[in-house]
Order: sequence, then C-alpha cells, then structure tokens
Amino acid sequence: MSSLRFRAALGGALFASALTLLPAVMPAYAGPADNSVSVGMVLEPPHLDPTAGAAAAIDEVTYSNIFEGLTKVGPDGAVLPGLAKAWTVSEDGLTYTFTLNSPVKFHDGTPMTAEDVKFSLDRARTEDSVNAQKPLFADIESVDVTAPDTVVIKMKKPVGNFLFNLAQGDAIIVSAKSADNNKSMPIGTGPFKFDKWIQGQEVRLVKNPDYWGEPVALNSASFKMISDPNAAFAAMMSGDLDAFPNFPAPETLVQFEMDPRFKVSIGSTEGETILAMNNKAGPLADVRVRRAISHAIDKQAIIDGAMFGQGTVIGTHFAPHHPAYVDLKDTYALDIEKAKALLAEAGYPEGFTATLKLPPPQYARRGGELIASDLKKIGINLEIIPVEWAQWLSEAFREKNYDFTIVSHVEPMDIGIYARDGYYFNYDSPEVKAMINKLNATVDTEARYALLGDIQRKITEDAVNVYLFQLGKSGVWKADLEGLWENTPVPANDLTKVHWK
Amino acid sequence: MSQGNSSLSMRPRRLARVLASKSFMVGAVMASLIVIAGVVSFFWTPHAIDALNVSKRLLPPSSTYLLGTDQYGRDILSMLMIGARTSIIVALIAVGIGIVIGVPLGLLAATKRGLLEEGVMRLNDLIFAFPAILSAVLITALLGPGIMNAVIAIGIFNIPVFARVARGGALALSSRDFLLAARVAGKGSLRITLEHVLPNIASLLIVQATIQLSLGILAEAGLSYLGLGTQPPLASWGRMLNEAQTMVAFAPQLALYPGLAIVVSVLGFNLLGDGLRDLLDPKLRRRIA
Repeated sequence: MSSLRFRAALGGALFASALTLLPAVMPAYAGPADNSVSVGMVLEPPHLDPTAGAAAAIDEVTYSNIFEGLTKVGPDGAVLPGLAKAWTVSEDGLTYTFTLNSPVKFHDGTPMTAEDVKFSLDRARTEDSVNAQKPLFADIESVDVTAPDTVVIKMKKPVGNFLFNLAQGDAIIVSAKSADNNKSMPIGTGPFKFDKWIQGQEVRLVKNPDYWGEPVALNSASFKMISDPNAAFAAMMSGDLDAFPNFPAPETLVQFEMDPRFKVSIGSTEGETILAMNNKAGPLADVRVRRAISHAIDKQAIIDGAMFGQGTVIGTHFAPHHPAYVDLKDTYALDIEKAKALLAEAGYPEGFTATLKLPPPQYARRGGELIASDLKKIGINLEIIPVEWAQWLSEAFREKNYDFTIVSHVEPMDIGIYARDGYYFNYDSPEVKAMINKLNATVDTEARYALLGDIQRKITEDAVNVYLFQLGKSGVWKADLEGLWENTPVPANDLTKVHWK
Repeated sequence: MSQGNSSLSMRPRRLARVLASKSFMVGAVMASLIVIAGVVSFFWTPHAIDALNVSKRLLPPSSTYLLGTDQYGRDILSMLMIGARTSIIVALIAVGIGIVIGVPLGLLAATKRGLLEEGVMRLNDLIFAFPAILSAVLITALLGPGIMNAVIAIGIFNIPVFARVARGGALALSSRDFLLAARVAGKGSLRITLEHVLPNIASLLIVQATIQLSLGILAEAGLSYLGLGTQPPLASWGRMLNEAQTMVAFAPQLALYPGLAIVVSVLGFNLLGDGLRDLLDPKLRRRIA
C-alpha cells in the first residue's frame, strides 16, 4: 500500500515538474527529437524512377537525395561535381573524361564503378529506352570505361551544356542489378535511402549511414502529398509539415510572413505555365484560332486572380531570368475584337465548344476558371474537367486526349520539346526541328542565344500554346529549418544541406 | 399540441394550427426564401457569374454588389442565388430518385411479403449500413466528379429511406378495416395499394421528402466542398466555402455567406419537415416520440 501511494505521489511530482519545465524547455528546442523533416508536395510522383518518367514530382523526391548523377545542379543553377569528382574536356569539345569518387556504394551494398556509369548512360540512350529526356543523350557517340574510376564519353558533335545535361534527374547513375525495380524500390547512391511509400500519402527516406560524401544532418525525411490548398495551409499551421517548398495557396503567404514561426521564401522557378493546346484537335489545328485564343486571354489577370500576384508574364516558352529570353509578351496583347476577327476568318464566327482538362495544382484549377470566362467572350465554351495527376499524365500527356489543358513545364531549358515528335501539344514544325538541331550543334554562346531567340519567336508566332506566366516559387518553412533551396533551377527538393538550427 | 381526433369540421382549426406551429412557420419562411432565390436565379441575377473580372475582386458591399464580390470579381449575391438553385435541383432530383424507386419497392415488400420482402429489405439494410456521405464520395470518385454523378450518389441513398417508410406505413395500414373491406369487395392488391394505401401514406412520404431534401442540400454542399460535386462555372455553396477557406484571414465574408445559406436552407427544410409532421399526422409524431 504505502509503496503504491509513494509511487503515485512521485508520479504526481514528476508530472508537476514536467509541467513547470515545459515552458522553459520549449523555446530552446529546435526541430523534432528524431531530427527528421517532413516536406509537403502538391503532386504525387507516379513512380520513383527518374530515368523513366517526365513527372517533375519524381525528381522532387529523388534528386540528390536518393539518386545522383555524374554532375549535379546547385541551388543557384551552377553545375557542381556529383559522382564525378573531376573532369576534363578535350579542346574540340568531343571527349569528356570523368574521374569518379570512390569508393561509392549503392544502397543495396553493391559498389558503384565506371561500369555502372556506362550501363546507366547506355541504357538511357538505347533505342527502347523509356527515358523522358532522351534528347539529352542523343549526341553521345560512346561511353567507355578506361579504369574502374574513369569514364570517357565521346560525342558525335560538341554539345554546349552537356555537363548541365548530365546533372539532370534523367541522367542519374543506377545499378544494373536494381535498375528495373527503381520505380517502386529506388536504389541509388545518395545520402538518403528509400524507406517506404504509402501511396497517396507520403514517401519516406532515411539517412544512408554508408554515404560516400559529406553525411547529411537529418536522420530521416518524408515527402507528404497534399494538393488541396486548404489542407496544405492547415498542415503547415498545425506543424504537421516542416516545409512546403512550392506552397499551393499563395493568398495565405501574408499570414505566414506575419508569423515568427515561419519563413516565407519567394524565388524563381523554371516553370513556364502554359495553356497547352492540342494542335491537331479540330479548330485548334488552325493557327488563326490559336492566335485568337492567345489574344483573348488576360494573362496578368490570371497571375492576380489565381496566383495572387506570384508570377511573371511571359510571351513564349522560356524563363525570363535567362539571358537568351526574348520579350514577346506584347505579341498577343489582350484584344477581344481582334480575337473575334481571327476566329471569324478561320471560319468559326460563332466560336466552338471544347474541353479544358485541369490537373490538381492551383495555377490550373483557378486559372482554368478565368480562362473559361475569357474564352467565353469570343464564343469558345469550355467544359472544365478536373483530373487527378495520374489521370492527367495518362490521358492528356501520353494519349493526347484533350483540347486544352494548363500545366507548368518546370524543366530548365526545355524549349527542345517543340521539336519532339508525338509530344503532347501535337505541334509539328520542320523549321523548329531544324533550328533545334542546329542549336544542339552550336557551341558558341552568342550563336546559341541567337538561335534560341529565333525558336522563341517561331513558337510564339505559331501560337503553339498560350504562354501564361512564369511560375513563382513561394516556399514556406519553419523558421529554424535551414538549407532549403530558394529557387528551383531544376525540379528538386535537395535535402543534403537541410538542418535544424 | 392538439389531438388528431377525426372531427369533420377541421378547416378553420387546421389553419389555426398551421399558424400556431412555430417550427412550421419559421421553416416555411426560411425554406421559401431559398426556393424563391433559386427560382428567380433562372430568370434574373444581379450580375452574370460566368464573366470573371479580376480587377473587381474582393470589393466590399455596395449598391452595385449588395454583398460584395469574390476573389474573381463575381457578385456574391448572384453566386448565392445560383447556388440555391443548384442545391435545390440536386436535392429534388435525388429525392425524386428515392421516391420513384424506393416507394414501389417498399409497397411491393409490404404487399407480397415473404422472401421478396426479406430480399428487398435486407438490400436496403445493406445500403443503410454504409455511411451515406462517404459512399457518395466513393461513387463520385468512381464515376468522376460532376453534378449528375452527385445527384445519382445522393439519390441512391434516398432509396432505402423511402422504401422503409413506405413499407412501414403500408404494414401499419394492412389490418385496418377499410383495407379488409376493399379486399372483400374483390379489389386486386395493385388497386388496393394505389387507391387506398398510397393516399394514406402520402403524408408520411411528404414529411420524409422534406427532411431528405435538407439532407440532400447538405450532401450536395459536402460533395462540392470536396470538389466532387458541382463543377465551375456553375456556382455551389460547398465550392464557395472550399475556395473561401484559405482566404478567411482577409476575406471572411466569402466563407460566411455560403455558410449561412447552407444553415438557413438545412434548418428551414428540417423545421418545415417537423412542422408538417405535426400538422399532417400528430399521431405519428406521438408514436415516434
């Protein structure tokens, strides 16, 4: 009896002292006890193999965390050493010699050698490769292993930004043993290992204790999928999430700015947000119709109304912060009368009816309503169809079963997609193809920029898509979390430098 | 409450009772407010809601925009009126589905009895066993979001409700003398059901329909809030609430108005249903209570 009572008294005392200690302890405490971080993402990756998919969400989980390439992109867009610690380029720009870090091990324990580099790059450029960015590798003549830690890549012709290309998520190094299972069980060389994936909810990573390079500060990380802006806001405010690098509710940023618990970061992305048009679907095959549509949409109103001012008007498929950007935003100034005249000229004086498929991000869902209202003024009635991300990837992107859709193209320097056969815009222009080919063969910066300018002018002239705005990056994270990227030069949530204060 | 004795001189007393029934009166006023707003929206709204104008967004109430404008510059009053129309149409059709399918099933079960009755009623139990709104979410997720699918999803869950009410009412009548008389007179069970049973359970069904109407409005708002119901450009109170949520800090009125509209309509139809129950069938009320 007495001992029981004593224990109860002790328990009470402990509880009371814990209560009194709590306020004193709280402010000094930074970050969760298990030194983890949970990061919010709007879109769920369809799978986790960056060598087999176009969805940026794959890179947002895996880039630099699970998988690494020979080179990597830093937060400022500069090319940094990755698995290759050094490299030399021959005078003629045709031979690259990479010296690899070693020893490097894959997460399953197999050593990463020059053979794996050869395997990965050869796999990406074979005939039946499913790599979403095959053109990155198109000019490789051969990949040769000259020593266990040395790889020599020979080019067919000089490629200006080859080192940058190798830093893309699509060029990561995989192991022959595990490459086929990377979609569900990614095995890379990075500082984090894949732990588990709860479909529809989160992807968990844990620290790789055998990492070859500088170890990461975090013990674990989880990427949580939240596309609903209300839920995203609530998850940040309640502390369920530590960071949301691409926050989906720009109208709430003011609240985060005023709250000392959070830091708001406004940066740039490579995301050209476009109203994509199926260039082979009915009336949209006529360039006059596409021009009419471009004239009818008030782009600034979409930035204000859908993004609460977060974004920059663009006139073409190119990032405005890039030196080769050409300002074409006045090509299709808002002009309803001109739009109507163009439609009439094309044979649609009464307009027509079409579908607008909207993926989950807010720029699409909110922008879609504004665009439907704009196009109604020139007689084009859009049926709005909200679709889930996986559905968008299969219906719109792969099957090209859509008339209009809104999406942000977040890969850097992706104007080459206009030269691709069977890309989802269904745009087919021999001129653009010739210019892209010429661009790929040009090393001189001035000449490259001139060509890039011509391509921008051409696609704008053809009004392939309506170029709405450059997506702003509004990130929110806890004030005592450091090391997240301010800008997004490539789609990624690089956690290697992330730590709690 | 007055007793439901079968006095023949009921007219004046009934009117007095109608006026005396507070819940009926309050419910009738609230519900008719919503219905009138919805009906008027067919012919006229203060402003068009499919012409978005971002430069006029989030305006305070004024003589042009009585309740101000929303984040896309649309007139909130017009949105609410069209939202009323959407809610009522969805709820009405859903109740219609429930009555058209549920009532014959219930009557069939009550007339035929036996294995058929067991089958019908257990099937009803099965549908009942699923939480209605969750299953409606499931159905719209499967069929795709959209107003038609929302109607179907809500309608399916009205079927067992009406089947039960119809069967229960019919069974309670089955031993009554006038039915025996009809049977003795040689009327077939279909004629008896149509001519005697149905008119006698009509009041039960009307009360139930009113209550289901309010549940239907709530369900439509719920589905649209989740993005599974009404799609833009059509207005819906649920979607208005959803869109207003992240803007509560600087534009609370965007959430307040559709929220109030939902409260008024649900409360209105519920009170109306309660009041109708009192008026049409006081015995029923006593029995249920």
